[in-house]
Amino acid sequence: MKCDLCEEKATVFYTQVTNGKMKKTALCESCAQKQGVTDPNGLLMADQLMGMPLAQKVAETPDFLKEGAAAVCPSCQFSLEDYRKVGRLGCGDCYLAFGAEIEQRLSTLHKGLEHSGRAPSGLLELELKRSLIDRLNNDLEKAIASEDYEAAATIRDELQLATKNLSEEESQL
Amino acid sequence: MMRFSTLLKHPSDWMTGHDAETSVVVTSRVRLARNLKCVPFPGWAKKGRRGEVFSHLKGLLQELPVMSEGFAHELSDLDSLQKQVLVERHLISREQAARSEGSGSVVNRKQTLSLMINEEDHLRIQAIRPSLQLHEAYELALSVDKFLEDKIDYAFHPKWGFLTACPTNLGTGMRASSMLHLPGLVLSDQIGQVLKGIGKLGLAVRGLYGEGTESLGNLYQISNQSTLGESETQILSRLTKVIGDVARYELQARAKLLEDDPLMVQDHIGRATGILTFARIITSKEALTHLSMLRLGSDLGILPESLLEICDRLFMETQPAHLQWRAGRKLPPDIRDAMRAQMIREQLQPALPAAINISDSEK
Repeated sequence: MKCDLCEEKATVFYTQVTNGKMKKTALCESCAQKQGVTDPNGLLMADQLMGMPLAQKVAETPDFLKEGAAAVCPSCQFSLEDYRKVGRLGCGDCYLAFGAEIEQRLSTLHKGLEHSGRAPSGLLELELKRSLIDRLNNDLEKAIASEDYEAAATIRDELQLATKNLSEEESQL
Repeated sequence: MMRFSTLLKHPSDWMTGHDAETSVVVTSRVRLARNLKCVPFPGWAKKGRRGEVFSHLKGLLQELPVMSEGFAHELSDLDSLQKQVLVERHLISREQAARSEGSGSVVNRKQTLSLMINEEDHLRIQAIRPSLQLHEAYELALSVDKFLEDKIDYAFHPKWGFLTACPTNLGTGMRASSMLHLPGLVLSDQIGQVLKGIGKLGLAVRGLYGEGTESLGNLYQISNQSTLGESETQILSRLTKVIGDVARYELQARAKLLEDDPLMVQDHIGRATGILTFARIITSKEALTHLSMLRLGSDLGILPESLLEICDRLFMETQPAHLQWRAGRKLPPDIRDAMRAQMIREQLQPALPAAINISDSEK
């Protein structure tokens, strides 16, 4: 079995049960150390969590557990427990921190799962870039289907540039 | 800046000019929920941070040309009666009235735009128009939205749209609604069916006054429930179509009632007129019920047309906080009921036919 974070062989297995849901993670020795899983203090996490203010709990939550299912929002310290209790969130970043859980609820609340309305003006360009990528993808498929490999190569280069462009902008969001 | 008393002396723009257009769909309202990037939502932000957001947004909003000579106040500057008046005017929400420090309201002179700062979200932009004008109300709200988006960074995610404190508003952040007067559907016992049908279309419907399913004054509010997955225009068009259909059913029901049982309709309207013209003590619940019949009578041509606008004004001005504000002090319910009866009599007098206007002779 390979490490979840790199290509090395996994030797450390971490299982966490939260509210009856099990989350398994496999790590290699060095990644485990980086994440603080093999830290002797890490093993006493349960004890430590009990008597600690929220802000410190965040630091104790290994990064790899945070994506979409964090216990506490790293930006505003609002907790997933609070969300479950009040149905409200602490800040915009909570949507990223608790994304997995929020998404489950969205389908019962809304007609769709993705925004198709207006975007603030600066983000309109982003939309245009995204639709450009869609169009290029289509063109590429067509070019390949018609065996026009010269055109396909040109489109592929354009596509790579457009994708790079977009991901740079998205990372700034 | 406009004072609270000036704000209240003027009826809202959408409360005047009522005619056949507003006989069923009284008002249309669009609300956009917006938040600042990287700032905790009002319910979770610390007091100091909330104050910063309030000052920042209030400053920006007052730069809006439409807000010149508008009203801008932190809710903690207002007493509980003043806040309640704003709630009755639909200028702030009940939830916001409960908040105080760092929460505020900015309203333009015509009261067509009401901006709530630090309610559940950092900003709620609300636009109100008379009759079925959801698209127009949206354009008005959008003008404020566009003005702001160049000046502040909104909390926005490409996949989820505008990020809101509650996931029920996620995406467009838009809640559009219309207020409808549906006495015909109620009298003909068709209202239950219609409300059920609206619910099946994924829209929300509730009584404007009263708790739960009870609706006083036959006033109902229809709004969109879903805010994610459809564009603003799609939501508004769907809602406009459904509301237009309901308005047509209502007019058909009124016509049919008048054809099938004119005596019953006239009796309802006549009794309501009698009570409102002669009562000396009237609760707000009873007033709403009878004013609704008067409004229907005016629509059907049984009573003078000018009554329509008077009824709509009385719907609001006979509410408890409006009455007390007019009196200049807090009043116990029994005094309010007497004041309400007097106010209704005085306002109806000039509009009602002389034959039943005998209140002059009593004096």
